[in-house]
Amino acid sequence: MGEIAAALIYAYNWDTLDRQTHLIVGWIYFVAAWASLVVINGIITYMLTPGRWLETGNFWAGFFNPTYWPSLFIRSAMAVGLAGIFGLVTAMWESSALRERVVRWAGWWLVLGIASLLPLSRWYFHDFPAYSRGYFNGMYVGVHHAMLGAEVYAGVALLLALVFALLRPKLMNPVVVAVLLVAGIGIMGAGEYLREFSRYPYVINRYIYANDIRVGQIEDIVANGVAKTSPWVEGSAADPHTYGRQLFAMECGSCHSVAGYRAMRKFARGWDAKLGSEILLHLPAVRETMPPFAGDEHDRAALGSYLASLAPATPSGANEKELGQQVFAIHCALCHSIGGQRRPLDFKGTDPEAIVGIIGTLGDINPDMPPFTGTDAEGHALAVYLSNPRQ
Amino acid sequence: MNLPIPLPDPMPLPAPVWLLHTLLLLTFFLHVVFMNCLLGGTAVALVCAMRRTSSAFSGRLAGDLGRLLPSVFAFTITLGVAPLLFLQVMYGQFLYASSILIGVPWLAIIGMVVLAYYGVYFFSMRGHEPNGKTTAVLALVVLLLAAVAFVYSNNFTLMLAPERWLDLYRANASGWNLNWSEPSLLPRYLHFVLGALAVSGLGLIVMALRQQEDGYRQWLIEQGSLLFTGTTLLNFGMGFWFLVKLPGPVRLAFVGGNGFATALLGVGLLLPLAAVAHLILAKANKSPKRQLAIGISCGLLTVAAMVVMRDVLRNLALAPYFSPNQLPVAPQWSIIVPFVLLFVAGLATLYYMLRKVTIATREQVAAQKLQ
Repeated sequence: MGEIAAALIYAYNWDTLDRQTHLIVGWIYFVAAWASLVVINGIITYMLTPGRWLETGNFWAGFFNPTYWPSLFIRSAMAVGLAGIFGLVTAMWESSALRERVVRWAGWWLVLGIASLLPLSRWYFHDFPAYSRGYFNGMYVGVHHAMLGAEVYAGVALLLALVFALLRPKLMNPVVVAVLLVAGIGIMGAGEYLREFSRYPYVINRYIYANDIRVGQIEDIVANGVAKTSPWVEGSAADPHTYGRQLFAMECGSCHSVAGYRAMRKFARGWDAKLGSEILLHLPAVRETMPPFAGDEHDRAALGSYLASLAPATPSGANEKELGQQVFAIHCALCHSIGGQRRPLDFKGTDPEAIVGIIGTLGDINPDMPPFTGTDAEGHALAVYLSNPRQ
Repeated sequence: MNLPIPLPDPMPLPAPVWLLHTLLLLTFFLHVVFMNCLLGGTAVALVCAMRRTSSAFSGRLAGDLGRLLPSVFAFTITLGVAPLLFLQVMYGQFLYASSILIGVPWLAIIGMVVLAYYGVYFFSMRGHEPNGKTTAVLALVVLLLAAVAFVYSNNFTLMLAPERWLDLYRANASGWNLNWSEPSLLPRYLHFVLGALAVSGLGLIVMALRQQEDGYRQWLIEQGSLLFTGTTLLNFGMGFWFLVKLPGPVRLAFVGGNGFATALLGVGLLLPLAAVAHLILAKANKSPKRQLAIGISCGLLTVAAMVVMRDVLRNLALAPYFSPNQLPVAPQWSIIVPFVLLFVAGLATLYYMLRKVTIATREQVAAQKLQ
């Protein structure tokens, strides 16, 4: 309210206010705006790191949570940096001698703001939940790009500001300002992306999952099934395909679409119903960013069968090794890589018949592993591929 | 499980129900007054812009309103946040379910409001002398805001009718729904829209009282009183239609079944009559300021009574399913007290700022006159 009033006062009275009133309104605007940050920051950071609130339910414990202070400082620094950039934008409209002064002044804001982001982000990241620090090890392409992007944008912004704002302000021009604008917003966007990603699979860390199911509810739903715990599904009355589709809408729809964003049609290519059902049993093991599936065997069977119906495909190949590669892509690649970082498999040089034996008894090796659901021919092809995966 | 009413938030309420309730009604009242001025004000501006060639005062009012409307818009939106949050705390499981069921029109509000906002600014900046183009834009703005109001009426009636939710979900699970099967939807919507026009009539009178020029001031008072009186008298009929279309038990409560509800309805019928009476008295009076002030106050009190009545209606409709009093309460006074203090401090700062600016501009104008 205070901010809006101040903004409106400025909009209508910028030229008519005396200096003192002008400045008072400006200071009130600043205090109100920063106070908004102080409050909102408590809410946002609580969602990622609820801290002691999880045990005590105390408001202040939730508000002044582990990432509150680093986030407050890093957001303030970002605001200072962006203010510098916006100051440069306004300076472009000024043609008098004042322009050079404004450019230099704005340049300092930009440099101080953006340069502080590096140490501040170290501090912020240090208090992240343990599990989400694991997301930054290079496994997730989006995270990798965001981190790289933030670093590049920050570097470009600082360099351009140093040269065109601080050292040679006469050379500052709209093109440089445009680049700085993109860079500034890019840094912020990258930061927000990383923060949001770090929340997976929760919306409120260790309290509510991203699909709105509470951690405390999972046990009940697994034991009793979705139909008994939610009135929004048809239940046993509906045909399995409809029921599966409703389960998908309810438990997956917050993050996945069928054919658009994070399309399940892409991820579930070639699945059979049994594979789908088994994967649902081990979702967090498949991918740490996923919540567990809340439902009983009937629910898993229905959803697994629905997911398998989205993009059925029979693996095929010009030769057995190619077929094996496709089988690997469908049945194993969700959790394993050949070499690499995801539970790497290295059967190079092993006799394919021995590998076939292993494929048949996956559950004995690791109870978390779904059994192999392909045909014998596919299993053999897979073994051939694994024993010599290189092209 | 019979009805798909989501479980309420398991966290206890952070303040006693009476306090949350009071704050809900208080902040909603403030929001509604500004919203009425926005919805009604844009409509009045449109009519004035259309009449600009035949009436100089109309053209002038269109320009004056154009300067005011962006601020009214801003305050309407900002003041809407608080009541929405209090509503969510107490009735969230109903509000969010109904919002999702009509998800597409509900989210479309954002686009419609953004467009309307642009339209208002467009009119404001070009509106000193309205022309065909600015008038057409204003007409679009009025249509958009009327559509937004309609979606709101849909959501706030649907949240009271959980027995309809599963059917709507089965009809379209992607949110392309409205609450057409609600009998009171249309009368409720029209009653509130007419009310908005009435309140903007009062707004015109308030504008008039700050005018120096006699002819314009008189005209504004006349137009404002006419607008208020005409729409209010129409609204008696609309209100009756609204009452008749309410579900049986709720209607009965207002006509004798529930003491408080019936008294409210009585007050809600008398206050607008008192307002109209004072506006008529003001016409006959040489120095009508007092009558006008009382008329405006009665009008605003009517809005307040209606806000409370709307809340009573909500609780009566939900009574078979839920009451906020059922929710567990664990007051955290350590946050309530700072909240109230900040709220008061915020209002004081607003007042201080506006006063400083008003004095400063008055001094500026005076200084310019001297030159």
